[in-house]
Amino acid sequence: MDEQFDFKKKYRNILIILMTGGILVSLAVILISKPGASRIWANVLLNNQYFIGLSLGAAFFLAVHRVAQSGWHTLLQRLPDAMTTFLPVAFILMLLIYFGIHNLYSWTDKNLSDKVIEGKRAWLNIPFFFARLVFYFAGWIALTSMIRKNSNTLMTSSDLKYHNRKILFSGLFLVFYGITVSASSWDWIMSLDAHWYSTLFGWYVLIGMFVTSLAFITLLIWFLKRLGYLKYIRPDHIHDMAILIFAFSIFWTYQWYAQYELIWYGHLPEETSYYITRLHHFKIIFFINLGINFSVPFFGLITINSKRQIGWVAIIAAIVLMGHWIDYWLMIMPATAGDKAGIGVLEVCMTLFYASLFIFIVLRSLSTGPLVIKNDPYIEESLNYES
Amino acid sequence: MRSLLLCAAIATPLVLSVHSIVSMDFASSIVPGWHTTIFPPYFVAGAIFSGFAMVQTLLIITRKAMGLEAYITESHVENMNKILIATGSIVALAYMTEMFMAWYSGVEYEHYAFMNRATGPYWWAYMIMIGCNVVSSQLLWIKKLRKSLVFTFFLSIVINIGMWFERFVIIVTSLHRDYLTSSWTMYKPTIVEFGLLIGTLGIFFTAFLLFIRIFPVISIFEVKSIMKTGDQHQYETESSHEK
Amino acid sequence: MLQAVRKLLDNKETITDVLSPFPVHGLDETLSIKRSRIPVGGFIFGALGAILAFGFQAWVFTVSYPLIIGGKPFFSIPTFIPITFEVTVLFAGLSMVTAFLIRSRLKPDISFKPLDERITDDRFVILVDTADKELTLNRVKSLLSGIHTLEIR
Repeated sequence: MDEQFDFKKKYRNILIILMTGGILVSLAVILISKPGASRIWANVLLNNQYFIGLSLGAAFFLAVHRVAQSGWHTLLQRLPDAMTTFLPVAFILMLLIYFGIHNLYSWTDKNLSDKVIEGKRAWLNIPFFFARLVFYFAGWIALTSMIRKNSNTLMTSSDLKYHNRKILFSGLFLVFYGITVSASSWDWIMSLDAHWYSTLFGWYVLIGMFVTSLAFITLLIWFLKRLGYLKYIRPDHIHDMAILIFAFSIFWTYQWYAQYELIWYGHLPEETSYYITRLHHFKIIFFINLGINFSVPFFGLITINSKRQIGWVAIIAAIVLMGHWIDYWLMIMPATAGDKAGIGVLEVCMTLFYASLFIFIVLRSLSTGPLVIKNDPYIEESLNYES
Repeated sequence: MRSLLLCAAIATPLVLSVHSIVSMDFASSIVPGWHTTIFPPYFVAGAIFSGFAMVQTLLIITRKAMGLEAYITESHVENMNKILIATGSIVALAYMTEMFMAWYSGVEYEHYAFMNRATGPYWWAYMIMIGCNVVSSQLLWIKKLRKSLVFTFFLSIVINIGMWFERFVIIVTSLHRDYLTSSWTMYKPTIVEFGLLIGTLGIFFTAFLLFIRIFPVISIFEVKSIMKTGDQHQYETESSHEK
Repeated sequence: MLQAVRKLLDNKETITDVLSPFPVHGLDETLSIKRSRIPVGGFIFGALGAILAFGFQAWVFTVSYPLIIGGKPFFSIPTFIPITFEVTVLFAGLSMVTAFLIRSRLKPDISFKPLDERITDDRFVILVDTADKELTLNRVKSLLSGIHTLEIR
C-alpha cells in the first residue's frame, strides 16, 4: 500500500522522444506542405482544449465524489490528482493562442462590418477574452492546487480538518467549474462560429470532458496494473469506472441529440449554419463521431462481465478517447480550417506531442508521492468495496 | 435485489427522458424564449430539484405522522438538502446561461423575450421564480440550515412554489408576447385553470395518501440489507468469515 | 450463517433453498446460483421495441399517411428518436417484470404458506434435502454442532 510509482528512465526517454518527434515532424509538415495558418492554430486550440478537458474532468471527478462522500474511489484518488497538475502547463499553451488569434477567430478582425458581431463586441474583444482566460486558469489552478495540498497534508498528518477542507474546496471548485467551463467553451470554441449560439454547448463540452477523463483514468489504471502496481484495485472498482463511462457516454449522446434535434427541427438559419457546414462537407466524420462515442461504449460495456475486465474496459476507454478527439475536431476544424481541414500527419503529430507531454507530466506527478492516499477516512470502505 | 437494480436501471432513463421530451415539446418550436438547446437537461435538473423538494415536504410530515423518526433520520434530510443545493445550482447556472445566450445571440426577438421576462408585466412572477429557486436554495450552503428540519420543510414548499412559477414564466411570458405584436395580450386565467391546478395537486396527494395507507412505507428488506454492510471485512479475512 | 451453509456443502448435503429476511452477501456465490438471465431478455425485447417503433413510424410517415409537418421530410430520423427510445424502455421494462413474475411463479390467486413466520423477521433458514429424515437429521446436527443454531428440525 506504500508503493510509489517509479518513473523509470526508460519511460521518460520514450516520452521525450515522442514529444520531440511530434514537434519536429509537425514543423516539417508545416514547412513542406504549408497547410495554412488557420489549420495549424486550429490544431493548437484543439489539443489545448482536449487536454485541458482531461485535467478538468479529472478534477471534476474527484470533486463530485468527495462532495458526495463516496468511498469507492478513495484508492484511486492520486491518479486524477496527478492529472490536474497539467493545468499550469495548459495555461501557458493557451496563452500561445494570442499569436494565432487572428487566424482562428473572425471576430478579432476590427474592420469586419458585421452587425451581429458588432452586437457581441462587449464580450468578444481581445482584452476581455484574455482577461477571462487568465481568470479561468487562475481559479482552476488555485482550487486544484489547494485540493492537492490538503490531500498531501492529510497523508502526513492525521488531522481530519484537512479532509474537511478538501471537501470544502471541492464544493467551491464545482461551483467555479460549472460557470467557467461553460464560459470557456463559449469563448474558445463557440465563438469560432461567431454567428452561431447554443445554450447547451457549455454542458455538452463539460460532459465530453468528463467522459474523456474517466477513460484516461481507466487507461492509467490498466497501465499501472500491467506494471504490477495497484494490486488492491479489484474488478469491483473497474466495474464502477466502466459504469461511469457507460452512463456518461449515453448522457453525452443524449446531449448531442438534444442539440442536433432542436436545431434541426427549428430550422432557423442562424442556428443551422453550424450543422450545415458539418453535415455537408464533413458527413463521414460527423457520423463516425456519433457512432463511436455512442455505440462503442454502449454495446461494449452493456454486459456486467464486460465491465469487470480491465483489459476490455481499457480498449473501450482508448476508443472513447479517440472518439472524443474527433468530436472536438468537428467542433473546431470546420469553422477554422474549412476547406483545408483534414486528419493528416500534422494532426497526428501535434496530438502525439501533446499526449506525450500530458502523460509525462501526469506520471512525473504520480511518482512524487505514494500511489495510495493515506489517512483518508474512506480507505477501508474502498478496500472492501463490492460492486 | 437484482430485480430492484434492474427496475432502477429502467427507471433512470425514464426519468431523464420524460422531462427531456416534455422540454423538447417547447424547444422544438421557434417561439423566442423557448427555442434553446439547453431545455432538455435544464428541465431534467429542474424536475429533480422540485421532486426532491416535494419529497422533503412529504418526508418530514410522514415521519412525524407515522412515527418513523428512527428510520428516516436527520442525516437523510441533510443529504437530500445537499442534492437540493446541487440541482438548485444547476438550475441557477441554466438561468444564467439562457440570459447570457439571449444577449449573445444578437437576435432581437430573444433580447426582447428576456427583457420582457424581467421587466415586463409579469416581472413579479419572474422575481418570485428567482427568489424561490435560486436565492432560497443557495441558503443551504449554511450547515445549520441544512440540518434544520423546520427550515427544510418551509424551504421545500418555497422551492415548489418557485418551480411552479418557473413553468408559469416560461409558458406565459413567451406566449403572451411573441412575434406578432397585434396578438399581444395578457393571460387571464379562468376558473377552469384554477380548478386544474387544485385538482392535479389533489390527485397527487390522494395517490400519495393511498400509497402510504395500503403499502408499507419503508422497505424493510432494503433497510436491513444496508444495515449489515458496516462490519464486513471480506478483503482481509476471506476465509474466516464470521456471521 | 454462511459458515453453516459452507460446512453443509462441503459435506455434500443437498441444500434445496436458503431463506432469509434480507439479502445475504456472498450467499449467491456459495450456493452456485446462476446469474439470472432476465436482463438478457430485457435487452432483446428492448431491441425488438426499438425496431418496431422505428419501423412503425417509418411506415406511417412514408407509406401509410404521409403528412407535411413543419416542412420536414417524410422520413426524418431525428423526429423518430423520442418515440423509439420510449418504446424501447417500455418493452424492456415490461418484459423484465413479466419474466420475473413468470419465473417466480407469482400468479394472481396463489396462496403461499410460509414455513415459519419468523423467517420474514429476523431468522434465517437452510432447507436440506432429506431422503431419509432420521439419518440426515443426525448428520446435520453433528455438522452444525460448532455453529450457533437455534433449531434443527
